[in-house]
Amino acid sequence: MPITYYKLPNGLRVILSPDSTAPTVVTAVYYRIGFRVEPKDRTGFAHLFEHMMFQGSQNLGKMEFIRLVQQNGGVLNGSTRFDFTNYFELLPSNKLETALWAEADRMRGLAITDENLKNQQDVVSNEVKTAILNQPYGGFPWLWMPQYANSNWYNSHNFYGELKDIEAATLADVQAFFKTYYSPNNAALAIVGDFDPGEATAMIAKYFAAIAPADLPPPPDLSEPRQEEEKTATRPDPLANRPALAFSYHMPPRNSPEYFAMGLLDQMLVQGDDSLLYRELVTRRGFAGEVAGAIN
Amino acid sequence: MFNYDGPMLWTASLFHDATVEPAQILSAIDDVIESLRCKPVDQSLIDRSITKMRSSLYDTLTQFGGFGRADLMACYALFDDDPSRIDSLESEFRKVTPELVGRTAREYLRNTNRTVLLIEPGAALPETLPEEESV
Repeated sequence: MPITYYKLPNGLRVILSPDSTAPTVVTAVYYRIGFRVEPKDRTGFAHLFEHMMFQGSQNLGKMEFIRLVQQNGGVLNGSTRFDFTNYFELLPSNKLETALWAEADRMRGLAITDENLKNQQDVVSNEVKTAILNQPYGGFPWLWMPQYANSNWYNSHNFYGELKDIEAATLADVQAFFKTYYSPNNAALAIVGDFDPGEATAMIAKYFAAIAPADLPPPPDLSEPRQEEEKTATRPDPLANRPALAFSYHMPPRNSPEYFAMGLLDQMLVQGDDSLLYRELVTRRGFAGEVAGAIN
Repeated sequence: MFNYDGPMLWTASLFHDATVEPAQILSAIDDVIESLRCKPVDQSLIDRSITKMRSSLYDTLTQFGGFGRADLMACYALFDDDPSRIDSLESEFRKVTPELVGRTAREYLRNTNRTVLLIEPGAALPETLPEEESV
């Protein structure tokens, strides 16, 4: 597929991939910071911070970014993942410049108050309660399993956040996190869809080139020691009415030949009704109605 | 499996009745896993897995107006400084041989690399289904 890749002098990685199949364009900004590397007394902070990115920047007040996209016929979202946080919008193709202007505005700096931080702390706390704490099997297995399987804090803490940590976050924390991680040299901008690369390049230079890079801290050690014995944990769930079982293995290093073999082993073992675990545990033994699985 | 850069897990999970013991389930899982560790898989199983993987990859790439493609390219730019890796994924899977599958299973699907998580339910099952109202 057509890909143009370059970096601005401030370090912003730009990826342009035109596709005129439909008159729409996706603008996606990825910051190289996720929930793995958050401050140790602020579990859930990276996700709370993601919410703050929609609360106001120099030229866009609280919620105005969202309204700007929606009133121009677009849809948008963001998500916090292990190793990045992403912000993206799908708009009619004639609105690319609007998206680029708005993303640059919030990359340049947030303009938020204690009041909107408090509001989002409440929103995020309620999200944690709705999705996890008040839901049977709420964190099973995606949120809970890494806490048992991993031993390095960065890989094994509660990524959604303990309520007390979410509530303890301050505006100074938000500003420090932004200053440390939300800089062009820690980000990638990808544009996919119906656009002219020459016009896009000019707009990107216009809106992003003057944003100053930051001095990035050295990445922490994320390695897991080789596991030498099987671990079993039992977790009571007062809201659940049937037992559940999950099992995990540590993945091979990313991009190694074994990593690609594990990708196929995932397909063989658990993806689809022809998969080996489905055939054994569901069809032959009737232990369960389905088996789910993923690399996560 | 593509958009991360750090230690990850392959995890499978299921819900079962209380009449089935975890030990029975784990014994059945062990039988399946050991079959991959002890004897080479058929090339036909690899081929079928590649078909499913390609299907999943194309679903991802066409997701949400091109977002799926943007996602992978942005990740490869950030993690590998090379968004065009997206074009070589399929060929990397095609390099996987029965021997590599066996070697990978022996190292990474060994029990000493495994964590098991059991959920102990606390809520009661309903005794009877609620009666439907007649209209």
